[in-house]
Amino acid sequence: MSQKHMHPGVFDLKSQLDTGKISRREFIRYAALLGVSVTAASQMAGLTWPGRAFAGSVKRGGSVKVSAPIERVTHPSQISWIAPSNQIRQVAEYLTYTDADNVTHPYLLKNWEASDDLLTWTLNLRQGVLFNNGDEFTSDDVVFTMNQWLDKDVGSSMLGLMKSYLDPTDIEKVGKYQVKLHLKRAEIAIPEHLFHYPALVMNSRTFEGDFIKQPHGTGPFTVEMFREGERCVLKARKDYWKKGVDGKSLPYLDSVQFINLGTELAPQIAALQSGDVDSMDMSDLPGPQAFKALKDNPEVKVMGIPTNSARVLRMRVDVKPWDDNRVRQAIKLCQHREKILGLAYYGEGLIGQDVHVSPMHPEYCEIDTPKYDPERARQLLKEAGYPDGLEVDLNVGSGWNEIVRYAEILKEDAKPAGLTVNIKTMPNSQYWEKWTEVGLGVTVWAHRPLGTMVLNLAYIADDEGKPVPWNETNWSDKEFGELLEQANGTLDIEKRRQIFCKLEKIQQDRGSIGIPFWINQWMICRKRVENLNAHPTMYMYFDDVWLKS
Amino acid sequence: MNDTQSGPPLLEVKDLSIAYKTRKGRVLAVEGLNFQVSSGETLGLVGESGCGKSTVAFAIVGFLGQNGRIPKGHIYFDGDEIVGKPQRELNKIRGDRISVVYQDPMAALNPVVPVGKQLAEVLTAHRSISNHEAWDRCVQMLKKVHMPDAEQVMSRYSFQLSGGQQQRVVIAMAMLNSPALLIMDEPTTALDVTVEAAVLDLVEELKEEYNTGILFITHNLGVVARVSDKMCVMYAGIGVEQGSAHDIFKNPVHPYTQGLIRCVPKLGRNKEDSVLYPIPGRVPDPAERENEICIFSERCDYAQPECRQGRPKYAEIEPAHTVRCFRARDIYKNRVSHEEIKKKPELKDEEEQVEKLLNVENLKVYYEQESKSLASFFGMEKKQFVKAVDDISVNVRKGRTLGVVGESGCGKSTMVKGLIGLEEITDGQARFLNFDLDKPITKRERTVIQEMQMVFQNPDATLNPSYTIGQQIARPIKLFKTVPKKQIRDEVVRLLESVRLNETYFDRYPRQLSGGEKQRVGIARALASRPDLVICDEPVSALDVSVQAAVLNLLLEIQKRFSTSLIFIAHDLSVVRFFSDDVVIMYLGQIMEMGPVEAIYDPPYHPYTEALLSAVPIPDPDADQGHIRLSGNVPSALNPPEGCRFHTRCPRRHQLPDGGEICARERPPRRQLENGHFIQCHFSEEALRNMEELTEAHTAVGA
Amino acid sequence: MTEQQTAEEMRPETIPDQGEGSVLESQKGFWRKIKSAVQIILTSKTATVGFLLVFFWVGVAVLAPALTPYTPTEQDWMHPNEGPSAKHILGTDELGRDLWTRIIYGARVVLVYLPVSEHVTIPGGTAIWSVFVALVVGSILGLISGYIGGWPDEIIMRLLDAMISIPVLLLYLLIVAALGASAVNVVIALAIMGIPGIARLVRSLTLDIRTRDYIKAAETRGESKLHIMFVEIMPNAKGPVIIDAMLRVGYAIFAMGTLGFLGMGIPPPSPDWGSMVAKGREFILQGHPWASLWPALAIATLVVGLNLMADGLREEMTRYQ
Repeated sequence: MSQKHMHPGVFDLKSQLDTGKISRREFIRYAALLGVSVTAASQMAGLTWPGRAFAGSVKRGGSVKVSAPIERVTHPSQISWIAPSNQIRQVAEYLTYTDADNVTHPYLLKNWEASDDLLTWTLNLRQGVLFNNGDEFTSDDVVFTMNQWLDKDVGSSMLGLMKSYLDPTDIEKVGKYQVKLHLKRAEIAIPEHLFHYPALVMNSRTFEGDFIKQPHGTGPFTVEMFREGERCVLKARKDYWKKGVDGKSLPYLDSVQFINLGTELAPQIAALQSGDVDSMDMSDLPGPQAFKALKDNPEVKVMGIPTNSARVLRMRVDVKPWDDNRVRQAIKLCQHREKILGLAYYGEGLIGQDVHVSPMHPEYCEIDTPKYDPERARQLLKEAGYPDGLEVDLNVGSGWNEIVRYAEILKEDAKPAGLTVNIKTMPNSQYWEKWTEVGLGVTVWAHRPLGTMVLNLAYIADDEGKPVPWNETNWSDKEFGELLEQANGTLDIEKRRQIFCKLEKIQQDRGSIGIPFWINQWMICRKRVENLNAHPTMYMYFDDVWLKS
Repeated sequence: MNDTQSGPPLLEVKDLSIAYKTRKGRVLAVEGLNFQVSSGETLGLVGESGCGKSTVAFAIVGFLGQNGRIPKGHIYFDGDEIVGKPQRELNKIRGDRISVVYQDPMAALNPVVPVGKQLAEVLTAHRSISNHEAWDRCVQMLKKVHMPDAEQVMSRYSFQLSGGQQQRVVIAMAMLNSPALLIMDEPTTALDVTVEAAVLDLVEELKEEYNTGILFITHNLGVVARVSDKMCVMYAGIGVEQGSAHDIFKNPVHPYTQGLIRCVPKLGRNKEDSVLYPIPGRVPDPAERENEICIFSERCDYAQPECRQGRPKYAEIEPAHTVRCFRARDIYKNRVSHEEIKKKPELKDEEEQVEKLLNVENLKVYYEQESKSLASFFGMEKKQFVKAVDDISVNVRKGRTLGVVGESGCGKSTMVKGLIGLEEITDGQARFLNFDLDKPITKRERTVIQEMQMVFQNPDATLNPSYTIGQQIARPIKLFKTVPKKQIRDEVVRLLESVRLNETYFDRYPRQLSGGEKQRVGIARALASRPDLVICDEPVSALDVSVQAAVLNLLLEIQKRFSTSLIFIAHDLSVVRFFSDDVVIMYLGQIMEMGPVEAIYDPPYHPYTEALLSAVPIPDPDADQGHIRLSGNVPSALNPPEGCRFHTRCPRRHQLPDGGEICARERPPRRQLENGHFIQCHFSEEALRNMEELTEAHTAVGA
Repeated sequence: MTEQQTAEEMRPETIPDQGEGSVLESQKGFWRKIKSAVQIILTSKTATVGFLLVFFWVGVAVLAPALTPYTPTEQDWMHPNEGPSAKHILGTDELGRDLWTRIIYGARVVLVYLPVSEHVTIPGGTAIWSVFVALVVGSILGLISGYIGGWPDEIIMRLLDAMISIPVLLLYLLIVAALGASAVNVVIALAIMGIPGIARLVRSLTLDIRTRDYIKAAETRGESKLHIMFVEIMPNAKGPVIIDAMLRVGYAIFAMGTLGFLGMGIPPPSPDWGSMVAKGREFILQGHPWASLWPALAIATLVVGLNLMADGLREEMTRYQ
């Protein structure tokens, strides 16, 4: 289990490094990484992949079986969910890697450099990396792959992510191992975007539209067999670019098998308990239930990891009564956070502070957790003109059990404040149809590695003053917007955190959301599987996984 | 008919009692019953409904159900005790040696198995016989029961057969094993007179041929008189009089038997010269029977205090004629007359003085035949019409009764429905009280509706079970506002009293009333709007004879008092004869004969009238009656025969000079005889007048 | 002749009577009717068992507040997901709410009152209302279809066919999805589902009853169609319809359970049995079956009870017809 988030320490170390000698921006994240991976200080030189392994104890050979949905994948750029990428990722790879602490590292890149105005990004490729068909990985492959992302006909979700700042013509091949991106607007999250699940690099020489037919990637495994709905068998390759702790090429395993056991949780749990599979692809499974079912099993490791994913109590600030900040504050004060996290999510997560920046975000600035205070809430409601209490409808999708529980607890705890919460349940799909329209609702927000990413998505207005499309609460604040703009242009994490202290304060004081807790994700595997680690994105990596004898 | 065979009885019922367990405890349905049936002999078991006749039949075949048992007595079949026999052995006897024919043939036949297969099963189930042979024997048997097209009928389903044919199939089925004993439980009650007569003939024939013993259960004395050698009259579970049919009809001794015979109108009588004598009261419910009295004393005209002191024993009045009555000898000796007191005929009004209340001319009521075919859906198929009433002209005179007679399907009810507005009149004219009856009832004027009311056939359906008698009679009063609101109750009571019920009935529900009482309430309801014309659609045919008489008397009385006109529909020619001033004989939507009642019931007859009269069961075993039987069914009104509608079944047709070809070609002329008497026939008046009685050889013409 | 006729007159004191039921019916009063109904029920063992089960649930539903120290939404958050104990006789659910309390308040929602909104409740449980609404609408459609016939019949029957041809569950989901989850909408969904069956039943009864002479009598009096349908026909169809309705209350409870199970029932935190089973299911795998076991048992016993009662009553009623 990767240990408790030690960001403060990490940050300190990092800022020291930052203010120190190492050259500027490119190395900021490296510095951060140093702080995290204490065991691998020497890896600073970028010689080996930041090791997660414990040297000396590894064993080679063996096969791991994973229960996972086996969906037909033709074009890696078209992958639309995490589960298929977990299989393809063992064969093809990303240019970058965002670690469990949300710090992004180069991967197929040697490093990157951004201009001061953040408009030009220079990507330097790692040299000597071979595709599994023997072709060398060069800038041609990067340009080819990026063009696939930006090709409307391919329909990759990368297009949505990048089209606002990048056109195919903006990609410049500088040399065999260098690519330059000339952005149309400043963007700091380029490395994070390169870790988006469809962003797998393809072989420009052989790719013809169906990856399973020409499964040529730089990854540690090759495709042995791929049967939709049944199984996917991957075999280790000999000449993978990453080396294990024993100095030989990874992977340690001989093969990985993904087996389709359907979408229901129960049979997969049964298979795991009996040892028929070693692990499960959690991306499509109800994590809390799997956690509850397996946490006490001595044969099984259940590794939780905090994420930046939250259940957000959001209020439309242009709809009565939420236009009044006192009412918003009142309902936020009705959240008994320990109780909510304890009952709704079994205590598996971190307490939230009603700001959409998680303690796991690199730029997180520590802020006080509001106390459950129905008296104060009642007072606020009175001031807002509701001396006899207030009745509100809370819209929730009934498919999210933890949200329903959260709602039920909130309803109960809001009673003493004179706030009557009527829970309106609906199918999740129906909630998504009107998630931006309802006055009060609870929305699922997915994990995003950077704090700026989510604030930019949901809490600002565009140039004309209109809320941006995903701004579900229609809340915007001039000061907040300006500060965020500033943060967007600040690559220095420490400086960015200074700005975030202010941003968080504003959102807590007059924002439009309540966030009582941040949820955990889990990696579940049998005890014999070593070094298979939990990741907030639920990505699975098998390159340095080994089996205990 | 009355040559009682002596010999060992085939079936002997001795001191039989049958009890049922009910919510009110154990009740005796049958008590101390004795009778014998020998081979080749028919015993008629007679009585009103509720007397336990069918219960006896069930006991003989061992079908008493879970809550019935036989506490006392014996049933010997062929000298063997049946009571207490295990079901398995009973089953064997039942299938093989005793057959039963029930009232409703439809219930006895499986609608999803072809008739032939069902018949053949009877043979193959009980004996090893090849299918082919079984089939042949079934065909033969169907021919024996005079089934036309026997071979074809074998492959048909029961619902493709008419009621009479179905009953023939059932009888054939019963006879297939040549049973020693045949039990027939009201086998003809559901049938038309013409069909009934044919079935009764058949029963007689089969008995002769197979020497079968027959237990014939019926409430109809006319039927008993026709088929029985011996009779057993049952009242309230007790046999009250037994003997040969001849003796009993000649000298009925038990007051109940007398009552039964007296309350049936004789074919030759009418209301002017005779009255009916209903038996007062009704059969007591088994649970309410008192044990230590003569059970009939409650309803008996001869009852003396001594009758309530014990149960009478059987006493032999004549040889082989026993009666259970304390006063039997008295009655027999004094021959207390059961002959009707003849009334002096009242002076009739002159015909011309009587105004016409209802005048119908060339009335036609057609139904569109619903077709489910795709072609008809698109309107591409020619519409077909059921000509239920086709060109009828008739009058109803004020204060008089028009009787309407005909087999089922002849259009009687449709005509009436057309008049009262439940069916749309297709063509023709009907004038009533100077109103045209050309509109359906929903569009008619209040007055027309009010002045024409109806009494229905089925006493159990005539009243709405959800409302009290008072509410139901009050409804038309409220609707037509015949009296001010406050007097409604008084008016209802007055109406109840006019139908010889009293105020205590006001708050009762229909289920608490007997059939006769319900029918009276129905009449009171019809009278509540004070109509000029009351249409009675078979008002007494579902009632027991004793009650029937009371209701008929009541109608007569009411007619006299309110001078109401009546249209009286019936299939019972005796009742119509008794009751009507004018009679219409209908066949397939047309009038065959029409005229004053005396003219109809005396020659010259229309051949159809003649056949009907010849079929009426007369409650006198010695009656001299013609023997004309109509074969086949009433043809479909969808495609009525050309020419004379009756020509396909007419037994006289071949006597025409050209062999009756004209009958198939031309509609017969409407011959006017004297006195408003019409006959629609190709025979001339003289020919009709001089008709000889037909011999049996001529009866099986037509299809 | 006159003597004969007087002899025919009935003695007023001989009240013909064909059964116990009719005696009771002629005595007026609501309680007497109840008493006679109970008597009929008690004559059948099946009906008695059913009656006791139903009576139990009605009883605890009516008396719910007196039978528990808790409210159904009260959260003992330090003790979630516990088994039966002295403090919580049936245990607690995932939010630490008392399961016994939630079960008996759940029975209330099913049988005793309908929560129209947070503050407004009307008497008659959700299941009862849904059947009642279906009964009213279905009866009207059935009467029109059966009595008027012709094209209204065609239209109504095809409409009902169409409704029947949609899988029940799908239709529930569509209706609730379209209207949103609330007790009233559950009533509407269940009512719509119940309509075809009741309409068909009433139609077939009507087709039979309309041939009776008393209907013809009403027609020959010139009564309006409305009068004939509702005054003459409907009261005589009520026997089978009531028994059918009793079964339908059972179906409705089942359907409520299904809807609740799929998260579309009466919205939380109302103690809806189906939602309780659904939520509790999550914890079965980890050895805490109570939260879904009790409501499942409650649904089963109440539905079985209603079915037994209806079956028994039907038997009794046909036996004495």
